[in-house]
Amino acid sequence: MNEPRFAVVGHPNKGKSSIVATLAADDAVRVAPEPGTTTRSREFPMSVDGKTLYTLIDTPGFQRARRALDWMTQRQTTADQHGAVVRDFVNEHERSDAYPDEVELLRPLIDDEQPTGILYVVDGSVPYGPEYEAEMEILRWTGRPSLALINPIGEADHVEAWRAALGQYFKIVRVFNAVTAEFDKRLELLRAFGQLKEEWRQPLDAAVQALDADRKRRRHESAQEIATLLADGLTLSVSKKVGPKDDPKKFQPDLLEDFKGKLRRREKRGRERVESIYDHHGLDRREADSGEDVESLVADLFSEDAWLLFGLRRKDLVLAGAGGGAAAGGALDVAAGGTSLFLGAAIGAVVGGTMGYLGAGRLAEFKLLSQPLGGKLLRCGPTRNPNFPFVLLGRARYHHALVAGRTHAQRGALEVDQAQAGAMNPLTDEQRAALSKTFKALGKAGQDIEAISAATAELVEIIEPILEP
Amino acid sequence: MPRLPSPQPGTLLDLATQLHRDEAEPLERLRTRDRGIGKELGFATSQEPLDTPTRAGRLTAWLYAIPEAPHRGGDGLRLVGLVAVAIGLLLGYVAAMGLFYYDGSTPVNVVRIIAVFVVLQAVTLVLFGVAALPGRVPGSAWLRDLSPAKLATLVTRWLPSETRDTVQQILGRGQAHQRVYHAVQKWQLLAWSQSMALAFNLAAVGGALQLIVFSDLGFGWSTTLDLDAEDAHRYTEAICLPWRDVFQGGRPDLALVELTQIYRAQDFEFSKEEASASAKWWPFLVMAMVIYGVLPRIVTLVLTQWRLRDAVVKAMVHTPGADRVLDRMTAAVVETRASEHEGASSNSHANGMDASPSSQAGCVIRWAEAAYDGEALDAGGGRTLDEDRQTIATAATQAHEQSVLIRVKAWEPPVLEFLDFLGDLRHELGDGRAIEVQPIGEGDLAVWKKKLASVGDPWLRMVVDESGQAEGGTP
Repeated sequence: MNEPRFAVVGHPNKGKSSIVATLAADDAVRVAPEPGTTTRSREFPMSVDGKTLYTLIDTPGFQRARRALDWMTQRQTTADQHGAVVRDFVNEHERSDAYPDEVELLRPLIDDEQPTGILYVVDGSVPYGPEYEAEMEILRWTGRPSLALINPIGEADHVEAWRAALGQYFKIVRVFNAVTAEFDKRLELLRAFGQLKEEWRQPLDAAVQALDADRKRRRHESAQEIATLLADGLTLSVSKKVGPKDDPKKFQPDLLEDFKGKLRRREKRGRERVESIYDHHGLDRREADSGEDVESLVADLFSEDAWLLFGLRRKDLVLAGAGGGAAAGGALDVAAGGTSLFLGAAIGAVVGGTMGYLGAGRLAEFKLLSQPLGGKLLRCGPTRNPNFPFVLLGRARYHHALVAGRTHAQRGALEVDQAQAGAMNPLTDEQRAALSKTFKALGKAGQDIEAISAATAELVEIIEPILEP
Repeated sequence: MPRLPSPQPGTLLDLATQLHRDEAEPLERLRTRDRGIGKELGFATSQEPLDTPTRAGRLTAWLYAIPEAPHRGGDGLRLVGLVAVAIGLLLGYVAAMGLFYYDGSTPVNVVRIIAVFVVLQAVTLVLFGVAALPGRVPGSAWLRDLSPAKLATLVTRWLPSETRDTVQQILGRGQAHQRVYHAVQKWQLLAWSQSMALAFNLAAVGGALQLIVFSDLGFGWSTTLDLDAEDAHRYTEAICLPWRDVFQGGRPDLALVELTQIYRAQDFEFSKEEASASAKWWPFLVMAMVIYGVLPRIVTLVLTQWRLRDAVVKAMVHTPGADRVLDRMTAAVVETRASEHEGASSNSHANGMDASPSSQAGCVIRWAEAAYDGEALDAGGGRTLDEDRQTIATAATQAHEQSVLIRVKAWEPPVLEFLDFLGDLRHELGDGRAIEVQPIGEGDLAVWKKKLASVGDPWLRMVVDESGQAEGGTP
């Protein structure tokens, strides 16, 4: 049996390519406001281990539908001949310039060896108009199983008018926003494709199952990436050799900047990997309110905003069991006699109410170590700040939510809504406690790669469920 | 399932190099490649948790299955190992030649030989034991710097850059995998040091046997310490404890010890009998060199190789990215993207025409039922082509010498059918008469401007309301 094929057809600029980009998870599909962006039909086979389960075909839009229908009606005999007339139309104009778009979009629909279903796409945010009727009539003439998709591109709502009009031509009418559709909605739509023909149901169900498993795998990979990011962030330290007569404090500001820079770069690399896992390539990340290109998402990793949004409150930290570590850190800070570094100026007063209990303002300690063959080594980190991993995780989680929820029809920068970031599902007490315990294990792991790996694996287990939308 | 290959230290370097290369590859390509390899190797269906050696074995098999994967990581390591052995052989042979040197004037001093081949060996074995302890022993960092294998690693300076980089990576000078390679570094250095030590002892035994066989040596013992023959005999008894019951020839008796003691003040000269008796020391000395030099080094070398292999297996599994490879080999590849690249868009890149306020039109046409309150002709939309032609004929008559205004929906794109209509209208009106297109409602005016400009009609223009915006209306 040939696998099901679906031609995505419609008026120009009504989101056909967006539908394809979203369903095929392909951000390389050209989506532009100009009509005629798609000039050739393009196939998007969905395959599992090389076995194709269905194929989507992106097609150009109708440009001369009335004229084409006029040509067909002049040759019409009876309804049973409609399909043949459409075939004649394509064959006759295959080599002429009169109807390049119509020929291109109708060609898959006249192929009897590879029966192709029709997905007719309209924009539900603009009013219904009679200019669509000619193209819907032509599609009806093909006699292929068909489904209409109302894709609301803009904000206005004309869905009901469209539903009423489309219902006269198509058995199934669905509303599907290609730009905002959640993953479950995409699967639901694929299941609807399976309703077009009995023999298509099984491959479409198999496709839905495979896509669902694939989605879970991507989430697992993302959890691995985020867990690795946290492990790296919690075990990172930077060091500098210090001469016997040098004052170590002189080097502390630069070393701290180096430490923070490495953490920022590591976070960025993690984000790129997560984007790559979801097949989003070369995404810009920017703040919604600033409109500027900035690499960091929700401000800088060490900014007040980031810590306010993603850091745990004092009470939550203590409940999560992170208070003990914080208290110990505070004691060390006293013992270090001020060699510890406080981010007081940057975060201090505002975050004070949000951050951990004792010594939580500290990001990283400095230590002066003796070298075996003489000389000293000034080391900054690893961080013992109990809130830092929660901030890092919160940002990673939010970034993941944006990336995983982003369809491949969306263009432009990855935009951040701070209110949305703040309204993310809070962690439960159990999750915080489990995370805190694992963060501590990572803090104690030192250079023991097996301990780090074990803690990272535990983190994956904890993080994976909280990445679910 | 075929037997999995065993990873070597060089495999670890190759793995790190390949994973580093993979970072620059698109994930889709890696998924397809690794899934293909997984299926080929029979790993594709495994869902059970795998133990560490199996995971390392799979990674090794995966690495061998990638045609372009590097397989040179072991070259540098082998070279350094060979240099360590060569240095050991040379030092051992030179030590034997020096310590067993006999020109007939002064007998070979047994104490020196014991000091170098028994006492020093015992001390270095203790140091080895400390260095081999799990974890970090406080204050033992200098041991690593004193490792004789450091001598061999000096050779890396003269290696080709690629090989040098890989060796230095495993020695911990590369920061990237420092944490992962920590145990491997430790055991690799210890393995090299034990190879060198074994070579040293073997060469020393060989050199000693060479002198014993091909020259006539005389042995004595001499020390400044307050040690009489009985004390010395107690020590020799202790030293030959491991073999004295099975090999009496290697056990010096008290008489031999007394006979061969040499004093600094004494004019030394062995009689023929004494010389013959003193030669009985050599079985004891060779046995001591073998039992305290060669055998422990064989044991430590086997131990270090075993621990090194174990460290390599763990490091492979913990190398960043390795778990992703294992996952990719077992996860089905789901592809949904286009099978071929999209061609270049055929859209013209002409700049759009200027839009200007509407002038007084002689005739108004509503295209596809675009909103208009006044009297107007209709075309497009649900009308037939014949009706369009009728509208064009009427418009040409009604407009006289004035312009024809066509109201269109700004939110609908200008399709070729509309451009055909404009062409037909121009044909009917003739050159010189203005045709104005007025998009109404919200829409992308830039698209309209660009499309109308592409028509190339000098008397065609787009008009907007006074504000420069399309007139209000739906949507």
